[in-house]
Amino acid sequence: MATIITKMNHLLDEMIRMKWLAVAVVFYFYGMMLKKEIALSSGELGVAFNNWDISLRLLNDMYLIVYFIIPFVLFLSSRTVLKDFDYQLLIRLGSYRRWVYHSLASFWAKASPLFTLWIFLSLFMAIGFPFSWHWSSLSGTSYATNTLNGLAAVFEFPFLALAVQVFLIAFAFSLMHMALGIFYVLVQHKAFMYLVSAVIFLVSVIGFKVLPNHLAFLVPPTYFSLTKAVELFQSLWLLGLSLSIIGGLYYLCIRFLDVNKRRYLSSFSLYFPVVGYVTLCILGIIAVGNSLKESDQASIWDVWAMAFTGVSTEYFSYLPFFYYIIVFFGFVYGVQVFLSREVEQLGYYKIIRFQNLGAWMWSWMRRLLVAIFLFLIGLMALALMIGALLGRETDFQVLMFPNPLTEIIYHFFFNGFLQVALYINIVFIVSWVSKESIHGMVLISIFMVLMLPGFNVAGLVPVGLNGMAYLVEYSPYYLSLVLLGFNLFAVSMIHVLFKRSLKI
Amino acid sequence: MSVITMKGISKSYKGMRLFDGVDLNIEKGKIYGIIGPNGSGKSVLFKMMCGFVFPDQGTIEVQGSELGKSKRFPDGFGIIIDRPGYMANKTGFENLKELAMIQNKVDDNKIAQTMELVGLQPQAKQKVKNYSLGMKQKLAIAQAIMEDQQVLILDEAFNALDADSVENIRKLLITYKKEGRTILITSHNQEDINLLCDEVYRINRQHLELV
Repeated sequence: MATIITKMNHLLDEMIRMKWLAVAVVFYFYGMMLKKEIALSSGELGVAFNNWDISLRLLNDMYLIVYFIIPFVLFLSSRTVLKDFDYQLLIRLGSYRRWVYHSLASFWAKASPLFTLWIFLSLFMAIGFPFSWHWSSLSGTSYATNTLNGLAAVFEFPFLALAVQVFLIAFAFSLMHMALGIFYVLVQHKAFMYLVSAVIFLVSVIGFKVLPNHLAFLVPPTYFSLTKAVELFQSLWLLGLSLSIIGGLYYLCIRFLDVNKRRYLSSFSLYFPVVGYVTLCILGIIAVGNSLKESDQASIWDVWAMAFTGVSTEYFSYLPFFYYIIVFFGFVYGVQVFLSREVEQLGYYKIIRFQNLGAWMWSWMRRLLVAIFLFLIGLMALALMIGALLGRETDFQVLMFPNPLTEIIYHFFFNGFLQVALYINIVFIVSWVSKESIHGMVLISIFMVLMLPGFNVAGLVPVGLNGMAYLVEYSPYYLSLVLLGFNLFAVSMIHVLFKRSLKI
Repeated sequence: MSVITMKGISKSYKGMRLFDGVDLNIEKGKIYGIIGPNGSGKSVLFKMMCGFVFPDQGTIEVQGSELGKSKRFPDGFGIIIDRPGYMANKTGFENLKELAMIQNKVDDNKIAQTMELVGLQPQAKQKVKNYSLGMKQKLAIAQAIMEDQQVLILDEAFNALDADSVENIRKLLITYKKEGRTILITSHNQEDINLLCDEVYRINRQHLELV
């Protein structure tokens, strides 16, 4: 009890210092400005306002957060990190993990006046406004400067929104400090930490203005403002899930801080491309899922179909083009790495045991064919799951394409299977003929060029034909015939190559 | 009995090769001196022993545990490495108290005794920002010994101390050695090394040579 009273006294002493009085003045004048704007809007629209309009607006205001709160928090945080990073302290704490938590406690000792003043002034500014426990008519009204209508739709009572906002600010403060703390432990360089602080500030300033809403999860201010977070995630569950994932990632990072990373780096570098690849696949689907939120009727099947739209001569856009390249050519690149090992490094030793080139090829090709099938299933499952998490409808229908859903599923699986199998066959032919892995990369680059507008007028160039965009112009069965024909041709070529050359 | 064992240690620091395949065994109850020119890697060697930096190659075991596996920083180490950071607006006692509270192993009396032992006045209201260099150094020594640490790693512990204080600290270290504590020191003063150390190693061309 005595400790709590001492800490409260310390907090009060701290808050009457000059710098905190200056901070209070900033909050006060900004709050006064918002109050005037609220009263003006209320008069223009002829609807009533109450205490929550000002309290929650002041706590959620993006300009205040981006241009005042974030730089202030970064300043306090970097000062705390530099002061706390002391060998005498470290040796007593026993690990960097414990140091991060210790530093978080020191940071809160410094940042609590800012946190307290912000909340206090937000409530204080409500003096003079009508008091209510409910949302005002103004809160629920959609107009340019009102940021609370999203909150009014999600929270039944405004005090619940206030409680979640306070928690969100505390969480965001802590995350920002821990990010700097972890970063400093890793680099232990003052200048780098200032640079990262500057980058966080710039990303916040540019991000909140420039990035579209569905990418707002990448910018820090989103996690300071409940209105912004609700606008992005649309549901509290999804917001909670995102915060849990972020918290989990931090926890893992902190757990990993004390480990001698050198010995793990080599094994991590093996998995890094796979982790990076899967992350990009997921991010692409999330971006598509978010872009479909305008359409209330869009189902999880729309998220899946739109994610794998690809491009055609008639329908070309850079985002689907790059996403197709990442997903499918990324997979083919992985296969190419596998093939270079199989053909260049193990070829001699395996073929001598199989004593038959066909049997040797089938020994790994059958595994690859199963892998293609699992890969397509995985992509579909991922897209449907993300679609469901983003709150899309689960009806068995697709609105974004005129084709029946069964036809689209057929196209994705059958034509997708044939298309990827063809890529693999071609990559194998190149590997077999040239024995140079780099030629596989050249081939993938040629594939990319062939997907650009103007190259595939009749749908006869067998690249990117599994994209949903081709369904607009061609029947999926026609595309199957084209891909089957090219696959047969590729297999025949392999057969001829095997017959003509038994030397590797 | 081995307290610290370094095997095959190689380390580059800020682009400079400092150690190449170094082996070192530190026995309990002895005072070791590490000497070498500026920038030869004395502080880095100490930082590796404490787990603050990892070697590029090789392993370091402290009291049987490999650093970076089950443990990051070893227990029972008292250190002076680099310039210690203090809260300038607090007294020496308050600074030590802040550090002591982390492990809660010692009470206020013990802190006061330690301060007196190194020649500081625990009741003094003088803030650390007003301390002389020598007083700051005494405070650094006090924090390194106040919790009865069994291994002392003291990088340039005698810097800025007056002659009487140097004599006092030398006596203190010899007493600790007799109690069975292990001490590693660096000093630019050859007399400190000659008087105190049982074994002296020189860093020469990325290796440790027994002098």
